[in-house]
Amino acid sequence: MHRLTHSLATAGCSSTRAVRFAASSWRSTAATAVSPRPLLATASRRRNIHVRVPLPYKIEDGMGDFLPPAALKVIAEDYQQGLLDRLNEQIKGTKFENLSVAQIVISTAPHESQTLAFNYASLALNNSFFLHHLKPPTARAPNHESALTGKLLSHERTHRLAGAITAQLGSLADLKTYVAAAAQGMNSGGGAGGFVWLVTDALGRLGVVATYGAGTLLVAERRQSLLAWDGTELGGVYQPATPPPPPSGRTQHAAPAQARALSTSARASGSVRPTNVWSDPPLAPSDAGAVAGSDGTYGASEAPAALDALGKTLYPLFCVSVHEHAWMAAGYGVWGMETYLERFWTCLNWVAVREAYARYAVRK
Amino acid sequence: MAALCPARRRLFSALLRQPCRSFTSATESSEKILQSQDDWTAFQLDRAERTTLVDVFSKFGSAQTRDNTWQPHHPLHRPTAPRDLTLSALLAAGAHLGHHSSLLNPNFVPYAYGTRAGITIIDLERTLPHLRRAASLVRAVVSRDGTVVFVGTRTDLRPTVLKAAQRIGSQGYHVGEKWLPGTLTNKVHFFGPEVAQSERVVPDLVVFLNPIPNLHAIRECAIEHVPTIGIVDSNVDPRIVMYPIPANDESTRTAELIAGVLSIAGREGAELAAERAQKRARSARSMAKHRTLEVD
Repeated sequence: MHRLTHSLATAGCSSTRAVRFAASSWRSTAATAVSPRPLLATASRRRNIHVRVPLPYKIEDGMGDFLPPAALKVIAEDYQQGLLDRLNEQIKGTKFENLSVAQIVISTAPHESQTLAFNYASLALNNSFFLHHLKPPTARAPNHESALTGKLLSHERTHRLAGAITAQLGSLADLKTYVAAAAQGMNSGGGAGGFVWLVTDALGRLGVVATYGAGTLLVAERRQSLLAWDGTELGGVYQPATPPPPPSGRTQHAAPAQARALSTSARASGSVRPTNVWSDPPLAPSDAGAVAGSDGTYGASEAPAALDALGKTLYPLFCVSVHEHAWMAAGYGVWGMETYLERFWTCLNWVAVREAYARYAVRK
Repeated sequence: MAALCPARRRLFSALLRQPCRSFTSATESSEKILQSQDDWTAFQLDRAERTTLVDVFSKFGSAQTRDNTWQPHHPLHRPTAPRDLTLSALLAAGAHLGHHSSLLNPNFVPYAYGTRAGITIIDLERTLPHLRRAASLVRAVVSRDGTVVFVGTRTDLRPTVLKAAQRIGSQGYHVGEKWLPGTLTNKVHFFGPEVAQSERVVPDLVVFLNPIPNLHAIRECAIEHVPTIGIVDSNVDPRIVMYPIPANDESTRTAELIAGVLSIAGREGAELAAERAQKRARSARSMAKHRTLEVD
């Protein structure tokens, strides 16, 4: 043992390095034969910070007519990395340090003191989601809408998403109108902007949801879909005095304090009214305006149990970033949101949207 | 905020407070307790949907995921490999913290760096080569079809020794509760005469994560000529085990680190043995083929 330490001391280098390099020369050939790996630790041993997820396309090439390379760089690099850098600063040394961005959104949502971390994380998440659902158009395909009615997926028998859009929203043009209306409403306030999402739930119902500011779909209470939380500014909240008996076997609980609103639809007559999911008879056409594109009746064939799943968990299909920095950087000017939205549709990756819809809408 | 009129200020502070106000209070959530089987099914479906939503979003945001960041369960479930072992890792685990200087065993002095805050600081630059030597020993023993027993008879060491033994495989064993006195010296009584004679009851190597409460086991190993590895603290004579590892024996992190290093070395030894057996089988097959060809 003493001979050992003596040989280390005579190595001549600093003590730490001497131990490490000496050890590497002692490595038996048997050990190296097992599996060659880098000398220093695997990723989980090193402290990590948030860095951007690599995109499936090159930022230098831009996004067709929608976003020139400089604008894509502003959104995908400057803005995104800025959000992650500020998030890193906020969570350094806290218990949120080793969490993924989605987990940070969930963990910081209930705490007012963590507002900054929540905002940065939520914006980074939404912006990343927006960027990952873009695909540059090609000469042959000026937009990717042909994927909606193109080759069927392995487990599909019909074009489910295309059918759902036609049945529930009217047509693709109607969907674009709803998104444009939501974006216009968001932008007319001259505020911090937000994101407009196409969402679906387990039943396959589609809806257009706007999340203002740093709202997120992950935490229902922080969705920030409505400017005022209790909905008094939107025409009142439906509150049944005694809800009808729930489907067989399920225990009856007190009515929820607020009914769930699935979307901010442009089709609703007058103000947006929340859906009544507790109704026993089918809804009259005038009552169901809140669900985008619904013709009013849920149909006699729709089981009452399925209504409980309506809009409970909203799965995102795609989103649009409604921020001034996006269309200003693209050169559309300060009032260029309409052009920005028009050109967005040429770059939306409908293949990914279709696959996502097929994956989530399972409770048919 | 101060420049706003009182009404505006109230509105802003109300808006700021809104998101947190609408979280379900304790009374609301206590009303929604699960009562029937269908309630439970609906709850499970809900939970599955929420998990799917979180999984969807987990792919976006940043490249940092739960998998590539350090999590508190990693020291036990993803231990350091011998080749990745560093002084910083030992330091972070608190392996250098010995007992009070008044309890310093005179035979431990070569492994002591000095005294600080009344306790003996263990020289980690001597600990590291001892730990690597022990790792090489475990690897060699397991690669030559030897059995290794991990002994850690404290509540916090129980999962450590279990996982260490599992990592080695069929040649790894653990004692997490109590080393029954006479396990080796009274093996005929414990295992029966047939088993004691025909099977390999005496291990080829024993690793002690807490040697002091297991001195009886160490004595048995010495009587049965079983080589021992052990974590020796500053109040302990290092000569009680054959291959001492001078480190803090009271720290769970240190024990997890050391047991992890040794068990990964043992797993590598098992892989080496498997490779060697494969090679031997292949060469035997090719020799048999040659012989039949020659005969022909």
